[in-house]
Amino acid sequence: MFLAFVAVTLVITYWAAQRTRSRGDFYAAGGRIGGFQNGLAIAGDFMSAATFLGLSGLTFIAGFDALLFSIGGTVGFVVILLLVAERLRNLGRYTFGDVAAYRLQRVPVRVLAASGTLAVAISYLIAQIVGAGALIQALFGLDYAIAVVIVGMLMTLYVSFGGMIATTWVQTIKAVLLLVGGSILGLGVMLAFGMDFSELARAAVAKHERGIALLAPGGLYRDPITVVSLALSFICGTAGLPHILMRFFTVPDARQARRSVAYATGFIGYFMGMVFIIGLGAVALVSGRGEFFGADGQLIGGNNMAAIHLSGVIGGDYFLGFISAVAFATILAVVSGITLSAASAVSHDLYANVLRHGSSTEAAELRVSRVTTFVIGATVIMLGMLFKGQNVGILAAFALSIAASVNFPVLILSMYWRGLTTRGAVVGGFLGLATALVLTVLSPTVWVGVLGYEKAIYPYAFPTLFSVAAGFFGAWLFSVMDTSQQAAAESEAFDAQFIRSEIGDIQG
Amino acid sequence: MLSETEKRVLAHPAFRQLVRKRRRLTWGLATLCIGLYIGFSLAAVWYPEGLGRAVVEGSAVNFAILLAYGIIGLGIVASGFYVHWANTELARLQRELEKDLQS
Repeated sequence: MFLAFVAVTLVITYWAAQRTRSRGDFYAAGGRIGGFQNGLAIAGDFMSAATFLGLSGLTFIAGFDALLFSIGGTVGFVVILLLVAERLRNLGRYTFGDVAAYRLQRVPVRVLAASGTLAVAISYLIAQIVGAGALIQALFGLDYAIAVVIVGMLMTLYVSFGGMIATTWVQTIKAVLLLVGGSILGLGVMLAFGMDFSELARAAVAKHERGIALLAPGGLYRDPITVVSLALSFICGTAGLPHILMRFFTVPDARQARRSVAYATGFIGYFMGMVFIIGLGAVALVSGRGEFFGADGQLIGGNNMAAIHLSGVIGGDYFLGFISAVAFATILAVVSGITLSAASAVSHDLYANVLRHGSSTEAAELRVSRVTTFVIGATVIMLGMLFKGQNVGILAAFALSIAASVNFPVLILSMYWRGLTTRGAVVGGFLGLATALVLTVLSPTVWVGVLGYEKAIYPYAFPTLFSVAAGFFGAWLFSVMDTSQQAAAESEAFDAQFIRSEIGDIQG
Repeated sequence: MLSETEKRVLAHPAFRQLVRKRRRLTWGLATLCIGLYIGFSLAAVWYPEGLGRAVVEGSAVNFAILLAYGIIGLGIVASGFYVHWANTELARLQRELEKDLQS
């Protein structure tokens, strides 16, 4: 069943590859996707391994605090809808680099945008591949390393030959399956406890080492800086995710862009709420049953596998196969979307516009895109091995932190602030990026968890409070300090950009 | 330099209304949702026991869980509300503006 599903998605990719005729098709599906379908695709992009496996796994170990992530996901999308979606659609073409470079100097801004996109893409991909590796490992008993390599190769296949049409269709189908599968799982959990949430909660509390405290805050994070950083990661980072932003260019106009984000928010909010129930169900029904735990007392496949094991309990082997296939397809599709955005960043932003000054051929651009895909695939496979066992939700939050610190400040300021100059954008963006990366490496999860040192140099779980501040501050400072003629011209150009961002292209 | 059309747009009352109304609603709703989220997160860190108290005696649903789902629900409602408003009111203003510009 599992393999059949994978085969189906490959067929769809092949079909889409036949329909990819132009650069427009490859990047943005020719601008023909409708609001509801795009909403599903966006939701599908976001409801990745991180959400389904990671957050249920997080609930499994820590209880309530996982809901903070859930709220974050929803609010993040509200922010996109209110502040970003329409303007982006009105202004840009394929990537958010296009938008950021609208009135600023193309070359440096595109370099920044591409760097930000790559950093976010790779970190997000690590989260997905860790989840996929654990999944294949738990299902087939394969070595984690082998599983990671297999996923990496499949992902590369998807993107190289399909482009945006393939990923949109795959995302939509996968979104539906995930919503349905997750709902059945959640429903199954509730039914097991007579549709009574209190019963479910009590059972979970009885089984978990934290007892009643499982349901209260404090399981993971206990200091204000970390928790505000986490919130900021979602609030600012979701709007800075390149693969999500790219989806606004697949709809015909701003009106559809609005509707697709609203639909996406609905789907995501619903799913986020469901994941907590699934997590509690896993605590109640999976813990204490020996068959799910390895010789070392750890859950087979790690905490990321809590929901998978639960599906076996609720619906037997067939349901387990179904949910695993859905989870795997989820990961594969998200990985495609992210890789696509990263490949676009390199081929469209860097190659076509920086290296070739806007005069490359479509064929060349597509070729660069495909080569990039292979390179990214290889990198992520290697990094995926390094981060084995980490909770996928937390890994995704790191990716969001980077997006929040680089892409978000530059995007927001370029759309809303007349005073942003090229220098400010570039310096601020790189400052945010550097701060986020450095602090993440120095944080407990990486410094202690992955690299094995005794004590983390940066004591908080997330860098966001400082890195976002660095991004905005750097952008502001270097913009106001910039008194060149070019800066003045850029401020003047703001009005025309502003009009277009508000009401679209009226000149025809 | 702005074109003639662009200058007319900037000065047009329908455009200014559109900008003003949109700015108020979007930043207002955004501030609300963001404020609730950050506020709730801080409350979770500073008053974990308080939030952990059951809403109704004997129920497992505590204030923390209730508020968390509440904020999620609010986010969904806010999105729907904005889209509805934008597709009716904003669209109306925009049509008015375009009609005037064509004349």
